[in-house]
Amino acid sequence: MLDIELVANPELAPFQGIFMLLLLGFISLGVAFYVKSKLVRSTHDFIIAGRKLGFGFGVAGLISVWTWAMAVMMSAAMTYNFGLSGLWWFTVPNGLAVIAVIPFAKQLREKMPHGYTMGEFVSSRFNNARLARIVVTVGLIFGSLIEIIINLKGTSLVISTVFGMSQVVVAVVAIAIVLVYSMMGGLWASMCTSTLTTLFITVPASVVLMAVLSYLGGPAPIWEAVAAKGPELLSVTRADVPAAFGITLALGLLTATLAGQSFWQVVWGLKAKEVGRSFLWAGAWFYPIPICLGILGLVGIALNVDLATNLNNDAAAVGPFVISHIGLPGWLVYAYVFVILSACYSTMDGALASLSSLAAVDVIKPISPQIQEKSLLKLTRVSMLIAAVIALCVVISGVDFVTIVLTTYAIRTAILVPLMLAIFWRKMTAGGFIWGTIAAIAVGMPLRMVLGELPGTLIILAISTIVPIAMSLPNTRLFDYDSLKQVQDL
Amino acid sequence: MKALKDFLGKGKYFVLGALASAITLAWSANSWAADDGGITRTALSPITILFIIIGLVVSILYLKAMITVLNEAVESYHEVEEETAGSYYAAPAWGALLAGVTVALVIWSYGVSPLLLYLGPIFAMISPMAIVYCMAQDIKGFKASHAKDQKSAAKPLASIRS
Repeated sequence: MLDIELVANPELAPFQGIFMLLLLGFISLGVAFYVKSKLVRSTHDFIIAGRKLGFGFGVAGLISVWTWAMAVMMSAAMTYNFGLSGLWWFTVPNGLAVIAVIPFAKQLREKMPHGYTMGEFVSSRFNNARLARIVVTVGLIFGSLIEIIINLKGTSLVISTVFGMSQVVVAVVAIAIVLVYSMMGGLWASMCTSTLTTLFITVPASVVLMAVLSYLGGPAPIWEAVAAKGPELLSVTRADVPAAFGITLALGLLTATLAGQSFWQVVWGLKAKEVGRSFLWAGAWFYPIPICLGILGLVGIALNVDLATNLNNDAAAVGPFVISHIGLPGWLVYAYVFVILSACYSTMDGALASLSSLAAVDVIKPISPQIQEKSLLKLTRVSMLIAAVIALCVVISGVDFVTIVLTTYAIRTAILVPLMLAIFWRKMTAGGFIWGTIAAIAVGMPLRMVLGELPGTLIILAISTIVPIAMSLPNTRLFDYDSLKQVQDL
Repeated sequence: MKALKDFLGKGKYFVLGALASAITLAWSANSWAADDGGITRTALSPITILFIIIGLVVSILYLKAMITVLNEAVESYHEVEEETAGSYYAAPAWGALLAGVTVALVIWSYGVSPLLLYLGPIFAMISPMAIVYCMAQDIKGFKASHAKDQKSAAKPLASIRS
């Protein structure tokens, strides 16, 4: 029943790829233009949406910002590599990482209602400790930059593969579109377009998967073909998966949310009363995306898609490969590409919006406290342009950006526990924060390279936990969190 | 039914259009079918068509709710909301547990029966409906706050009359 010849869809041509990039771009531009003309009148509106984001936009925006283009493909990739255990370990921690933000978000939103960034919080929490602020800000800037680079790279790979286009053209067009609409409306534009792209991710994904199942004769032939290859592929209890990637991924996801400005910007952009339930619902309703698209991994297994010959040794390509090679009508391929593009655009605009707030609050304002409102808004927009140009250069130059990823990962993992302690532990000192982070990076990173990902990550976490606690325990001057209320709007 | 009609407004014509498009798709389903060595494969099965219809209706409801929320946000741009410390909508720990356990069970169920593979696309279709519910909560909030404003504006007039 599943004897299908895997051949590229002959209907697909480069101009269709450009058309799809532009179609989503123009829709997003339209939304951003409306938002800019009606809701963005100051830097405060631009970087924090006037703290007026509601429940609906909060949930939809968070889902979309959290759905990376690579995540759309990785759910299928992990299923293809490890069966249902791979999907389980990829999916379950993903939503929980969003939900895990809730207690920290509530605490900071209540104690520091006029905040904008984590760098600003660290500075206020540790009596204007510059080094602590710099470490956190650098980590957050690199984190946002890497979100743009990875999504831009993933998108240009998929679109160029499916439509036979140049990767450079895809990257240039995609980043130009996202940059233009993000520069128009900042966080408001990002959340509105992300709300729209959540619709563009979920509904087409559901229809495409239903069509794939129908095209292959229903779920039974796929399921039976997978079962015939080994019962462990249909089990969620494979013992090798947590060590292979599950635990490391879970910790990485936690650092991405708790030490990611894309999320903290939403924490401060939401109406205060909506913070908790928005993150809960976003985490919960993010889940259907990977559990739906992960099925493509099972289809890949069932159709004997070969990692080396068909996927160029990159399992992330299994979803796009299946969709474009089993003989589906062109419009279903476009629908799937639209899902990936939507995920890409929304994550990139979220990252650009977060960079704008970091630039305004942690770079421009501390350097020039008396800056005029107009100049601040202009420079905030320029920071988006600079970030987009850097990301584009990294992607089109073809340089290996593993070093940037590793640096970002190290800083984010190293600041995770110190940040959590700073939010809740009154004894935590600036010294504990700074030296805990620096020691974790200096000692943990080399060990991570020698010992591997999981032991290395655990060592970084252990150092960044022990050092701050050991240094802060003797502190008798307890921090008064209510003093954070003195932080004012821009 | 009336509530749905009111909510859709002119959107009901789009819903009808969506249904008509889906029926046209169903009629032309054979043109999408591929002949694969004696086995005729079609992506447009009745269940796919049903999902396209549901998807179109969900999309219309979603866009309608989104536009309403956006317009309300524009109208209330100058309003300052009172923020009382500690007044949050509930985000209970059991909610997180329920979400985690449900998704874990859904993935586990994929290995139990082939039919349960349909759960993924079904949940993906329910997800935007959940967001429509969230936006409906926002709209309710806007309406309640407008009603409160109108009431307080009407008070002086009432006192003149009495």
